[in-house]
Amino acid sequence: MSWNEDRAKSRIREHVKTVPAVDRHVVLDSAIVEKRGMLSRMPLSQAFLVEGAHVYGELLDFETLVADRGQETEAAHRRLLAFLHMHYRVWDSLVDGDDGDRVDYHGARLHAVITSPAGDPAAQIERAVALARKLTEAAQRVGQAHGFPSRIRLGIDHGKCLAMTTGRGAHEKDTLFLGRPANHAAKLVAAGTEQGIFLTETAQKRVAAGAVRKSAGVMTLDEAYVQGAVRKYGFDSLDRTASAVALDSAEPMFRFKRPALPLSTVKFSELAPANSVRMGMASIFADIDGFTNFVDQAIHGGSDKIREAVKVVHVIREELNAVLKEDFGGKRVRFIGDCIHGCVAEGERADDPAKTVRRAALCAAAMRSSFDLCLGIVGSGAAIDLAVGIEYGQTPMTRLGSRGDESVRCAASKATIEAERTQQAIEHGGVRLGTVASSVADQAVRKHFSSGRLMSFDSASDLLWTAQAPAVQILRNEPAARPHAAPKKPFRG
Amino acid sequence: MDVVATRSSGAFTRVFELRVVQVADQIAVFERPVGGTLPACCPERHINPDGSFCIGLRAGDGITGASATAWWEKLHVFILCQETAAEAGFWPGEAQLSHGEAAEIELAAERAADQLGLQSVYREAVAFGSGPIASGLAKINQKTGMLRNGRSACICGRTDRHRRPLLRRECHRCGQGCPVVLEHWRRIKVAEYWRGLRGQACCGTMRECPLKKAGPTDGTAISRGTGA
Ligand SMILES: [Zn+2]
Ligand SMILES: [Zn+2]
Ligand SMILES: [Zn+2]
Repeated sequence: MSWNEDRAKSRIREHVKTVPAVDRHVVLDSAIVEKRGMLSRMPLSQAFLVEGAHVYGELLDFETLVADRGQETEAAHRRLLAFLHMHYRVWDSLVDGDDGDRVDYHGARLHAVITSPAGDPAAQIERAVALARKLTEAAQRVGQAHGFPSRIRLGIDHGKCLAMTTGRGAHEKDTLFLGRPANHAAKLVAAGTEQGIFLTETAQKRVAAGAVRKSAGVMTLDEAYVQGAVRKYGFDSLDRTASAVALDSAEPMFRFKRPALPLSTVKFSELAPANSVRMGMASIFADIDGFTNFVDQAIHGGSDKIREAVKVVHVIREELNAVLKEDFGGKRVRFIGDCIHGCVAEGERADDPAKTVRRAALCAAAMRSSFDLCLGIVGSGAAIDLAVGIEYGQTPMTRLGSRGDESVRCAASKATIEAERTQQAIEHGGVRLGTVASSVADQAVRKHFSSGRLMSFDSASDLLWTAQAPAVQILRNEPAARPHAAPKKPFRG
Repeated sequence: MDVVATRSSGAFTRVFELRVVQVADQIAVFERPVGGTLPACCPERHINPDGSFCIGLRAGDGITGASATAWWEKLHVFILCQETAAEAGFWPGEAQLSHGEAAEIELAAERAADQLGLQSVYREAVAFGSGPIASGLAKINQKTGMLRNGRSACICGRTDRHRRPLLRRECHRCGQGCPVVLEHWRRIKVAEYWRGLRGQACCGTMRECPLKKAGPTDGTAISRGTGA
């Protein structure tokens, strides 16, 4: 299993054929979106622009739960998953609600898009604030009942973004929101560690007068405004579910087993708390650097530009997924915006950390090669690059929440957290290994992948001296085929 | 002569335009013209000051019908590695021998390490400067070139016929020699090689190159304290 140029090229030509159709009107009035129920039941293979408020939330205590006194034991992971499961059960009530909101979560993060009331930005933000407050209270309530610290930090932005759905079948379907609002709300959350609800500059400009107070550059929401918003927009099902979850003393039973390899054979549809997998894996976060800007320019550039952006992101994402799965036997956890999170693992009976990280490094290099082919075949001159973060560690994989077949796919560990953080630390394109991945990697991998430019698959195959490198095969038969540099006398060597 | 090779993924390398010169039983190969797409000279890319390629130890000497095939194989590896060096700025560590006379010592050290089952440990010492053999270098007496504390067991772990550890002062006299001592000598020869090239300009295509540090451009930039 490895990367092959011809195979990648023909795959990419197939991805081009499945590009989501961009709606005839491109920019859909949020009333239309609401009426057609497009956000809650996003049609497959369609992309459109939607205006609304974006709520981005992060459970701040997630990271402290990942290990128990520094050790990522099975018990610590059980507790971590129980924590997420508890919150997902509450959040599930929003997904199933009929308010036309779109809610999505992964790891410790939640992302909601609020499009009603239609055509009224200030009211959409008000509704987003109400939701944010309700989420804060719900987290607190269930956390207290089950003995988990559950502080949540929320960011709110407003604007237009590109919505699209990709994937096939319920378990593999992902909805994307691309563009500034999805991104800025997330950045606001990442910018601090205190609990609270924060509005971006844009949202502050569009919110009702008197809602925001500023002192010494710090914004706070007026409490009377928040109370008013909460009274106006009920989110009753959220309240009801939080009460039910708080009262439910039955704890989920998490049972782990080591999966059969390659990881690509793991089926999320077969995973559940009592049937979870866990082993030493490398988490790979591959992100398209510069994509938010590219989409934002497209959104302002009209329908042709939007079509191009949809095509670029669709083709690249599908291809990165194919590289992960088909070429390296990896398992995609999920797409997050323009980013793909996946895991790879090696080791017949026991985990093999060095080989696992080596596979992840080669996978990253193959992603780079495929990424370049995608831009060539699509013919896009987009100023985008690929940034890949890799971290290694024990990682459980399962599905959480109470939505049966629609349950949320989850892989959560220090490695998943650090892989993402490592990727985010990359400026422009490139590759980086997390601390653990770097320490368990073999020398060649550490030298060429610890940090810096991400090389093509062919160069990586040579420098990591893989069995399939033609030079390796030649040297096996002709060990003297090793170039050197002759002493000063010319015509030697 | 034009050469194209196939890389790991099945992709082709670029077309290398080469000139092969044969004088009696000696063959040399150059880019056509020298410095066309490859550096005109770069030790780290195994291109000699006269532009000829170093495709292996004495690769172009005494070519016969039998050794001609091997010569092609060596050129093949060279072409493949040039493509990787051009993109990544590194030459695959396993596909090169130490420069100059150090090459002979490296081969001797490899034979010695092989005998002791230390093949990969030795490769690590050469390619990355780490591992037990590389760290053993600190215990070498710089004057004698031999290991200090001659009466303790040798670092390389060699034992005698009765499985008793061999002493440091005896080890190098046995069999193919002690890989730690040989590695010390190899490094001396490598340093000598680079000293001999002092004044030679760095081509700037490789990420790590001893000429870069000593080279006129970098040197003045540092002494002036300016970046560019
Ligand atoms: Zn050079
Ligand atoms: Zn020895
Ligand atoms: Zn140089």
